[in-house]
Amino acid sequence: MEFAYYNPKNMQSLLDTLSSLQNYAVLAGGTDLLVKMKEKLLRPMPQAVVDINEIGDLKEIAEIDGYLWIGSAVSHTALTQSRLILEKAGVLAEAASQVGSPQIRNKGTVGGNICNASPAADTVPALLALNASVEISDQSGRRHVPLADVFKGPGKTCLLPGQFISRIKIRPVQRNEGAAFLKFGKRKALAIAMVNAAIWLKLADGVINDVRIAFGSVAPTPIRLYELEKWLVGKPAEKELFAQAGARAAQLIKPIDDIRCTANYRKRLAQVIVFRGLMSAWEQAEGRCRCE
Amino acid sequence: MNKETICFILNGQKTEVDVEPTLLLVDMLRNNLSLTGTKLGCGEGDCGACTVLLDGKMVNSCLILARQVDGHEVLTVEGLGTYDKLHPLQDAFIAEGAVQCGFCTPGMLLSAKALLDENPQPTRTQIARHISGNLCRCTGYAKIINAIEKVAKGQPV
Repeated sequence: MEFAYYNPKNMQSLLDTLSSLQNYAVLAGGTDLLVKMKEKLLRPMPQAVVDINEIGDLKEIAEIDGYLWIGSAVSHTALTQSRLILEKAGVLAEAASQVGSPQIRNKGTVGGNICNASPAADTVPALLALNASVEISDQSGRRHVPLADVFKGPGKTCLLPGQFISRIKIRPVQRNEGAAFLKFGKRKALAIAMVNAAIWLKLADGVINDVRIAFGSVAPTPIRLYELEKWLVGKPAEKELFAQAGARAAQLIKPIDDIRCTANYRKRLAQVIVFRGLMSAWEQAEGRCRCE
Repeated sequence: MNKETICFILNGQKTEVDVEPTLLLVDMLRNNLSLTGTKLGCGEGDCGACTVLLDGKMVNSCLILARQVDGHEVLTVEGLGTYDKLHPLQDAFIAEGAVQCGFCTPGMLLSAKALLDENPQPTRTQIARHISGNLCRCTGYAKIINAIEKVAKGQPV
């Protein structure tokens, strides 16, 4: 490895640094970046590493005008310990708690999880289910992009040189709504998901008013199952419907065989996950306690 | 490459080191500072043998650049106890036979310390979950958990 190291202390200095460099990598938690750099998996190899850990603004979680704004350098551990996240977006805390190991969660960040663009990222389905958008900053200003539009392929995002995800915006889960995250890995710790998913559901008089179903590890990027969501909206929530939805999910996804498991097994997992996720989100939306 | 001097607190002592931008924390500890208690296992954050505490939080020192600890505080196993007076966790690991080959032990001890600092009375399940990022290939987990539990319960070693 050979690179120059920068650690800007504030956002302006960060954006100035990024725009002055040609071939750089942003260092947030480093739990994926440094592994990739050691194994020379990045093409081209970055000539500069820009560490964002000294920028306090990027580690804040705030509630502003009814939305939760999460700094991109907020660690997974911080997500699992934030009162705001636990109370208003528990599904994200649940997803963050299933990333890697305690050591990885202490360093790894939500922004890094997004920018890495791994199809298997654990926090991404939860964010997609919460209809997250990201704030992209560069020297010309800030703009907001739906999270779903960020991913362009495995390891590829829409970010252009000089651009940086500064914050993530989500709407808190309301009454009459519920959300669940489920993950299947080979082990309970330090396992990359064979399949993961998050489901958000809104009820109105027992009928599904709105629903979002987001999957990881079943496509080149994390995906929403819009077709299945459309099929569910307007139907009365009930167990049998959710079982049918699971079967439909398995039909809709086109996973691949890889080192972690086969495509067929992923379809089977997806069926189970959709059923369990819908059941759990439904119970929450109805205000029933889900005793673990 | 251009070296820069970093200044940080290592095991309670103010420490200055000239480091290259690419130097990893684990390599600085072992090679520049001769603190070989911290082990390098997988180098990818999977095994936890290189676990140290950074500002009190357990991290994999193989995935942190030395430059990143500038102005921060690092605790390695060398700072946990002394030869004359071991840390209670070290005493408990010895008493319970929680050390086999010993390669995972420094990381395990620091993870255990991070746990007890945050949650002085963890359940066995919480202990097991907390050391899930520290692999013991001798598979001595039961005795490791016993040792941590013993300290948590304040039992005499």
